[in-house]
Amino acid sequence: MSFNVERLKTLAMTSLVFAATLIGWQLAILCFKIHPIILPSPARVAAAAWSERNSLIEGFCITGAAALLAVLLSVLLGTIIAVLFSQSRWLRSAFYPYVVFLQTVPIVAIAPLLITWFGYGFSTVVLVSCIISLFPVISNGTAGLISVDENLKDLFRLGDATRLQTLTKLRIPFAISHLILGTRVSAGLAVIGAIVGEFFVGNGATGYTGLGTLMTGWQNLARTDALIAVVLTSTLLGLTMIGIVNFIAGVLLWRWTAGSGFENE
Amino acid sequence: MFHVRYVCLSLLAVYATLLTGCSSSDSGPLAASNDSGLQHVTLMLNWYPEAEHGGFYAAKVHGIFEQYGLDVEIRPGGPNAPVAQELVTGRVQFAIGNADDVLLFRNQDVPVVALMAPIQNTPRCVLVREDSKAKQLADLSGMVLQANSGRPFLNFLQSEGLLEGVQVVPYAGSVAKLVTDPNTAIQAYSFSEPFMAREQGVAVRALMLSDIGFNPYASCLMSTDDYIAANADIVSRMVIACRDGWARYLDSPAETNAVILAANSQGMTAEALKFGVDELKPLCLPDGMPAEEIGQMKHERWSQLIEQFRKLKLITSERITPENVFTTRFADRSGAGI
Repeated sequence: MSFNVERLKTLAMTSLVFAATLIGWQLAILCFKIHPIILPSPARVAAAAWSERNSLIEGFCITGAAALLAVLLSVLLGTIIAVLFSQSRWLRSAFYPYVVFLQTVPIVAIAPLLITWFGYGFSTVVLVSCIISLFPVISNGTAGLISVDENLKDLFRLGDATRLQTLTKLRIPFAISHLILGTRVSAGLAVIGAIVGEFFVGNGATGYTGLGTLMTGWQNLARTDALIAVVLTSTLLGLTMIGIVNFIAGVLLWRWTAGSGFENE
Repeated sequence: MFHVRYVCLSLLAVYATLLTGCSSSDSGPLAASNDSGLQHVTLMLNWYPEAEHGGFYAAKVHGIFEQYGLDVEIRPGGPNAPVAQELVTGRVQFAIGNADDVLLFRNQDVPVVALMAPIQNTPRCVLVREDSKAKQLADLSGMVLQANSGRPFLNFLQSEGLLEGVQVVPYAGSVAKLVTDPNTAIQAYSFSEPFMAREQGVAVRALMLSDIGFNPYASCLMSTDDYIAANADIVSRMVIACRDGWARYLDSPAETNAVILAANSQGMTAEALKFGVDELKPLCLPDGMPAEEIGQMKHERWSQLIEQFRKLKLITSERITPENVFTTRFADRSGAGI
């Protein structure tokens, strides 16, 4: 009973803030007489989104597929790298600079280079997205694997556990919540990465048409309302991605995540 | 429920701020004269300074603006130059745009009007290597075409069925790929990129969009409905000065080109500018058009372009007509006050 009331309250607050944002947006336009090419009204954006719904849905699916694939790759690669890092401090210090490269790489500058190496296509978009989304998984995963409670490590030592047993029975279970945190960050970044990749890969005329392609196209056509609609669509994609990660974490890993603050407060 | 109250209160505060902001706005930029008695206006370019803006620079370089009582500040643009936004906020009074932009802006309810069009035939082309199999725009199938998305000429090519079997990818910003790969075509302006490709030692062929019936005026001088209505005299002097500037530029570009070169930090060269003017001349004054008609615009050209854009669904607004997208009433010298 109290659970339902709490939920209703949360829902009411969310809707209130949403409605208030829309009202504030509309009010600002009316008050300052802002021209729609500078800031279109919510109604105008909604109309543009409706008339371009097919392109937006297609873009959502294509960019979403690229970002999802990139996150999967990141989790896979990132976890492997994190496990290797957790096994040796030498390995960590030798390879950490390359990991930092992933975090700091100006992707806009190297995307054209990636295209000359890998061509114009879906796989290059996935690659760009993966480069951006890999770091949080490695970083959080490694942190989780090496920050195991010393007392627990002692306990394993007392029981004569092997290195492999310590890894699979202690370090990895302990690191799961860190990995999930990293994956959540990575899921949001993957959307940005895919869109940036599409700036260089896609052209609406023929072939690839993701959300990033729509953005450049509508910007060139001076369609601010449609541009905002596609920006909101990519936000929706980001939320969906994070939702998927939370869902998977909640369903598959409930044993480990129940107490880690991902479900409710 | 404290937090709900706080949220509501802060929202009210935000709205109140917005409402008070309303009353204090609306001190629009009025026409300002400077110390020398010249009328100061700003002209915004749609790209980095190049030969396509030559006549406007020439009017400044040769004191033609001054002669008509104007002090014109030319503000260079670049990629995604917010021309429509600057015009609609009144931060600039004049701007340069191609006829296709005029229609696209109008379709977004930005009330821009073309006042003169120095470049009659569009320099827009698709550039291929001379050893490419593409002899005309109908031969692009099987090639990779680098072009910016959301440009109307692409929609036109597509509607003509000329992009079938063509892989269209974003323009990479240079002729590099074209130079190394005979299967690549790039979007280009006939007065610019062909020179760069030849500089790299590659012979190229420009496939002109105007040859297949897509021909928007280029480098039009634009202003807005409001500004024109309130400042007919300034607009009139501006239009005449720009036309004189273009006549002067096509005739003797050397001095102006030196100024453009100094204003362009994108690797422009004197040779490229010289090539640019030579290529622009036949586009500005095609088929024996007399020099005194430079900058003219024809009703049927605008009406044809509007027709094409409607068919391509690039414009949807019913209100767009030739009458409200261009005017030639300021081209008459007797109205220029001098």
